Amino acid sequence: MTHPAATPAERLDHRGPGPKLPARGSLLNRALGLVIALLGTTLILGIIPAQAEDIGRGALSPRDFPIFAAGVMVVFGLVQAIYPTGENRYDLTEMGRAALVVGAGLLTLLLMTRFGYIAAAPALAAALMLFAGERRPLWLAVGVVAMPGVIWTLFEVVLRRPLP
Amino acid sequence: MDTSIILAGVGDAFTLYNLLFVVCGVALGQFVGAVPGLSAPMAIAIAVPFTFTLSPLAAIAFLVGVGKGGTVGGAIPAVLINTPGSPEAAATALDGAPLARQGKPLKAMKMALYASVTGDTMSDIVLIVAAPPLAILALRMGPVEVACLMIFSLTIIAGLVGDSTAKGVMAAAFGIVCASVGLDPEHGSPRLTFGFFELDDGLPLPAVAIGVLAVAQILIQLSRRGAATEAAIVVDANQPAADKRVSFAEYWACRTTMLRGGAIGTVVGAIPGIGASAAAFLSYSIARRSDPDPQSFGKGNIKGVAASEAANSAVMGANLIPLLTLGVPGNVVAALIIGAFVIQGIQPGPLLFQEQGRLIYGLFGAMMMANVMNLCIGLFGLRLWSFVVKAPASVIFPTALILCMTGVYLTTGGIFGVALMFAFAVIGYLMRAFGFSVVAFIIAFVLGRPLELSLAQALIVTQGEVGRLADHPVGLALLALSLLSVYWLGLRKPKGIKAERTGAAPYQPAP
Repeated sequence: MTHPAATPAERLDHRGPGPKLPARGSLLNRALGLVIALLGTTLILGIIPAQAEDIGRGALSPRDFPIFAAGVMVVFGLVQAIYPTGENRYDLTEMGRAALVVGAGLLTLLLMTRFGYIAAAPALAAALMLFAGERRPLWLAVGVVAMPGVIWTLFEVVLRRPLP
Repeated sequence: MDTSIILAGVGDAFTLYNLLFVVCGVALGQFVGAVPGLSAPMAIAIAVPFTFTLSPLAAIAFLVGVGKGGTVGGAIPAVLINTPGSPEAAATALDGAPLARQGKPLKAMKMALYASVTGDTMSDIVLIVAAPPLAILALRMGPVEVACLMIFSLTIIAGLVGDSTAKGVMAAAFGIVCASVGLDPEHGSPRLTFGFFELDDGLPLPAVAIGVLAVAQILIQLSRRGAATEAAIVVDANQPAADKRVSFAEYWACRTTMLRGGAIGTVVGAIPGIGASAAAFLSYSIARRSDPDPQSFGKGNIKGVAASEAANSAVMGANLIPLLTLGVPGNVVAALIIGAFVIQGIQPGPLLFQEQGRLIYGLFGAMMMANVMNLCIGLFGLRLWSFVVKAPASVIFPTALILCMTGVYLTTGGIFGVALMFAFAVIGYLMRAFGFSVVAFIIAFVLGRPLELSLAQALIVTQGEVGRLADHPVGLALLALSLLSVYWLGLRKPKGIKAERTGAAPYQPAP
């Protein structure tokens, strides 16, 4: 799809080719800083002490390195909250659609453990292609039957790598 | 090094088995480069898990082939539809697209191909000549120097943080937290595993890299409404022959531009953290300034295409200089190649030349072959890849997602890894949406564990006394370089690398 108004560099926003999403304001940037600082604090005070031993001997305790990194998150989170920088480009509807794709992927994982790759992969391909708006029978056949079939044959038959 | 090892290594590259994987890699790279929305780093991320069934040389040569092919492929949509297939091809579009509009798309694509191969070959020669002596130098370093080197490596992230330094540093810190998962390297005590024994070896790199780089990009593409790629440009079959080819006179007229572009790309590629887009724009800008007719640039000057492509392709070979000599990944492709080395049970770094000399010279041979293959497949496939530009996203991305799931399942040995992949895909998606650099995250994730280990060793050697650093002048010099790199790449924000740092871009894996 061509968008004559945009320069080549402009087309490369985080979504790839196409029109750019509008940049969001600094309030969100401040909130993001606070969220990261909170995450860092939770790591330092809660998660790391519970999930890593404090061993006195040796050069570094198992807690030291992650606590240092979490400390950096806290400091720079606060810096971001006070001096917000950077752009945020997102669309809530697209985020919802992305969540549906992730849901479909996780559901497919469940199906794979029960019914195997050969049944689950074409189902996922069909769902995603229909979700993307594909209605042409030939392309549907390529995506739903041929591609998963090629992948299965390549790994199961040619490379002898067992799939679920 | 023994000449027989060098010859045996180069000979390995020319076996039918290895050549086949070089050809497949280059073809796959050109394919993914030609499809806007796919990119060579994404393809490499997907391919890494599959390479563990191959021999080390075939595996690494295949991945390097994908990287080289991807750079050539990225120029095709840049020329045909003014939409770079990869970020480093953005500068190519400045003159490539006007040439296509003038009815000369094949001429522009062929010039891009010739310039790419020229620049890439130059860079590979520099790699082959410079890497072995640098590795010998690196071998003289002790634990303190290695720790300082790791710190220096980490500061390359300063060049990859994107528009917001704070967000970039937070992304890198999060990468280090994720790298801390698993048994701690000094004591072997489980850390941040939440009771999952599958995490004792740490978060699997394939699951994290494929999730953050590839699946997040697939989510972005599939969540867009009406994202199907439409027909690009019609190549008129009856156009004059002169408009369809690049004559030797035209190629020769661009020789200075290509050599300069190749040199810029080689220097930029050898410095971790800058990248191919910066090299391409820098080369383009210098070519325009030094041309007697600068006004013609941006309107279809073939030298613009040559300058950009020679530079961005030259980055690929030079990128391997820090990887092979120091074990330091200069960009995401190099980080993924480290993953492939590790999967094969090989630790990248200065010892590679001693322990795996034959493999490394085999790789050098394969790289030169990949350049030849890039030219041959490119000439044969330009028209074919032009059709690829029109392939529907609705087929490509679901197939890519199934490939990602398959690859991660096979490497991590189960469903748990695939679930992790989806978790990191969500993280990657959110990072891009909110402007956090995924590249900084991945580089920090790769460097985190070796940094912790070398830091612990250095602390033991120096007994934790800063004053003892005076006994290690090389280490001190590296620390000074670290400060310089933070200043130059992070605080000073040079214009040349600004485009590269729009780093939240999923495409952008290419720095």
